[in-house]
Amino acid sequence: MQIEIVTPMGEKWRGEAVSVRARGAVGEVGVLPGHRDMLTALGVGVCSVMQTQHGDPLRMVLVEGYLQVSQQGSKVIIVTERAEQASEIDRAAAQRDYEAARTELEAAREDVGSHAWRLKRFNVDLARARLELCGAI
Amino acid sequence: MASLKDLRRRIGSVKNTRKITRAMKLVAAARLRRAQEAIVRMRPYAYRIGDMCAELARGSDESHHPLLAVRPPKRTLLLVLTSDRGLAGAFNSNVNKVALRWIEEHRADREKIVLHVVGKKGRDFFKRRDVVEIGKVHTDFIPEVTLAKASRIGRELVAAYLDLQFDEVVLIYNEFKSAIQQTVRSERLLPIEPASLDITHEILPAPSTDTLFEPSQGEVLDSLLPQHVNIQIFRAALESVASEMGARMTAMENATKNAGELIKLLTLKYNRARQAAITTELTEIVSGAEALKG
Repeated sequence: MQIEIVTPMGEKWRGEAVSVRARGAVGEVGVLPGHRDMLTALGVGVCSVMQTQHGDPLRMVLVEGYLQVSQQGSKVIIVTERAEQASEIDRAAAQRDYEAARTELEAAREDVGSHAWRLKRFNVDLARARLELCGAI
Repeated sequence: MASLKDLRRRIGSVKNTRKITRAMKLVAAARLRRAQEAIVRMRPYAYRIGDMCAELARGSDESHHPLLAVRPPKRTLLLVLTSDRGLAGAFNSNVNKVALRWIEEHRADREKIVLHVVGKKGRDFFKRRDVVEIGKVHTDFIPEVTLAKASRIGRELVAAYLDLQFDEVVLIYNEFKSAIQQTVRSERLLPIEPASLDITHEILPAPSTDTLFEPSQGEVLDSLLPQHVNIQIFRAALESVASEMGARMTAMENATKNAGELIKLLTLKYNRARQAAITTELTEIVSGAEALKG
């Protein structure tokens, strides 16, 4: 199936793949060829694109967006505000961000669900996804 | 007639001005290229989001979504994109004039018009005239436009719209045609016109009835439509920056050319004056020598 990953800074990646996994807004999303047509919101997390059945997947952090499956599961379009590959991530900075964001989230435990809390959760998710991509977690 | 010294000083000063205008032209050209590249780069993203919105909106009863529903326009928010700096030809005055005309034409049938303005030039223009309530001034938005900055403005506008503070949001900006041509456009940003979503005008296959939406069709639409608004602001801002740089480039190119002509003219005058001075001096020497001989 055809995969397209598009960001406001341009097309990030386009090619053939045998499967895609991404972090959906309500849980993990996995797409294989022939998947039912779908439009789903994405959260912050690592997305893996398997280009061949047994190879290393292409992995990147997606920062929210949408995943659309169309044409009887032969085309997957991912639009995201930001897509980062491991080479673009500063691992030490991500580690620092992760710890700082976790402390902040802990401190905001009282107002779970508020806008400010969700923003802090977002920061934790983003830093964790970056670390995951670098293989630190 | 100006003295030789004065002429020399003037030539020097015009040469300095030319240096500055030439540098400004080069900077504007570089920034224009950057803005144009950014416009091209963001296009696929804008098209994809637009397609997705169109597909979702078609599947649902579109008039039900608050961002799509048209209300009688009583209270309007105008978002006008100008620049922080001048020396860009008619760039700012064009967009300001269109906004002013819009206000004058619609004042009679609106209860309220509030202006949100990007750029110091727009702020100063409307402050001086005092024709409209100025709500917000964004001065840190340009020229380094990002989607994140556009989203901040977009979120504010969507929130105010959903809060029923306004019935419509109109965007007025310079659209980039070429370095010598910019056209001012006014577009309705909110409520979203369903026709504006399908930017590619591609004939899409009919939405399959069994498309799966996660979390739900309504929720996806709730998050996608504001994103569409953000993208519209982002695109308009990039167009505006490209227009500003194009206008400045042209203005500075003309200024450089004019300075060059002025320098030529002044140099001619200077040489003539010098020649005249030499001739006078020679005549004096010759006649002095003649007098001594006699």
